[in-house]
Amino acid sequence: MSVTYDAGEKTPVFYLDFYNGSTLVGSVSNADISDLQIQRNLIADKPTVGQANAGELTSTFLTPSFTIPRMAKINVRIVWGGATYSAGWFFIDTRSSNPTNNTLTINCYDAMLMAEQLCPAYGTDINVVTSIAGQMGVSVATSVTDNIVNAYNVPQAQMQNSSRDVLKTIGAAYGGSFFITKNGELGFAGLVPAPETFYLVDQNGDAITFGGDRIIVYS
Amino acid sequence: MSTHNIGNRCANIEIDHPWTPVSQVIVKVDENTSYSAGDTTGRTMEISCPIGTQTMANNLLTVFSGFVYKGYKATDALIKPSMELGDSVSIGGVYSIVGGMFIKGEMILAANLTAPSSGDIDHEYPYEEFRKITVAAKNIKHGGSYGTMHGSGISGHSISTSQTSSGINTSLADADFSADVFSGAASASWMKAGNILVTSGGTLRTVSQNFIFGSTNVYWKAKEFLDGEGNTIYLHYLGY
Repeated sequence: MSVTYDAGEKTPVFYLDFYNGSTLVGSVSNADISDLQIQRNLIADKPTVGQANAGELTSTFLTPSFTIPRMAKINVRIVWGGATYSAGWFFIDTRSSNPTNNTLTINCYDAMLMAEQLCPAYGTDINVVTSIAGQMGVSVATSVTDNIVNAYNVPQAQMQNSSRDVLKTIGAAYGGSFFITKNGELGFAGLVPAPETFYLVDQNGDAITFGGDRIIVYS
Repeated sequence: MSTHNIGNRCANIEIDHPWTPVSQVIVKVDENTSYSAGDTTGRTMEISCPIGTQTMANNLLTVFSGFVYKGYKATDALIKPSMELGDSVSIGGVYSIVGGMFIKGEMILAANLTAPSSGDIDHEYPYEEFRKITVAAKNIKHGGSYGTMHGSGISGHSISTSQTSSGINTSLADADFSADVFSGAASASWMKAGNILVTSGGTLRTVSQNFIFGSTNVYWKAKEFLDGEGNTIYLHYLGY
């Protein structure tokens, strides 16, 4: 799918939705948020495969009236142009309050840190990945089932390693890395981008259309 | 995965020098085992994978063959909230992937996007592969005992020699040694030059030195080549 960018940009409205398990306990919106930063990496530091990086959320906001549970699950939500998008699911790691400003600062990571436990399974790679996702409490994204298809064998000895390390191993086997998607699923992406596409144009650079539709060609 | 055409809609962009196209994949299982596919006409991708197989190396070559990695670092790129890690992006004239995304909650939806620099791991030569070079000194005839070729080079690297009924097999566990020592009290007459099989590429140069061993004019030769870090490595053998 090709995403076209318009000349005019819309103003995003950010929300932090706090969950206790699957129960929404409250939300904080733009008006109360003084700082919000999300760092997510498929590949960090250097262009390699076989990574499994955790996303990180840091935010400071006015202390809400509701009680934020320990290790609360947070969904960062963006309302943009009338539509709602998820920008990630995180778990609170640390929190600090500032009574002077009545603010709360939280530092959170996504579910990738849940993979820091012994690998629960061995056998065919996709079965191992599915087991690890279950261990992490997340579902498997279609990017995983679409790409992890070669049925490489993960030997039993790998159960001595952490699930995160096994994800790195399987990711490397497919030339990519695992990550937690914006929807909170276990996702996979390769290092090689999709083939670049272009509009088919005439000698003047004008797009050639077919029934009014532009024609996309691969490089 | 989607493709995002951002164009120049970012505050700043730094673009790295692109890779040369990938032509070889080496799947490194451990220090002693690796599988390779392709040739050395282009860039070699080394991938550490403890469950690696030759089939995996072949499949990865299919994925990476001709691949040109393009690193970039764009600040305050105007993105759409649907952008996801691993998506393809066309930005500032470079076509690459969204390898990293840093979003700040501001009045516009902007993000710092990266595909990290390739400079730090940009090996023109697969130097780690050299550590797995096996030198088979075949056809060396020997008597009741045999000498040992060993090195006094960089610590932690050694050469091992084993005696079989057909000759002496010499292998390098780690090829970073630079000694020219032959030890053994036997006459050199049982030594015969054999074939040295270097099973990996490199910049090869043969050097030699003649010397008298017992009553026989014996020579040693060394294959000298450079690894990817600029270190000189010698592979030695004796003959007469």
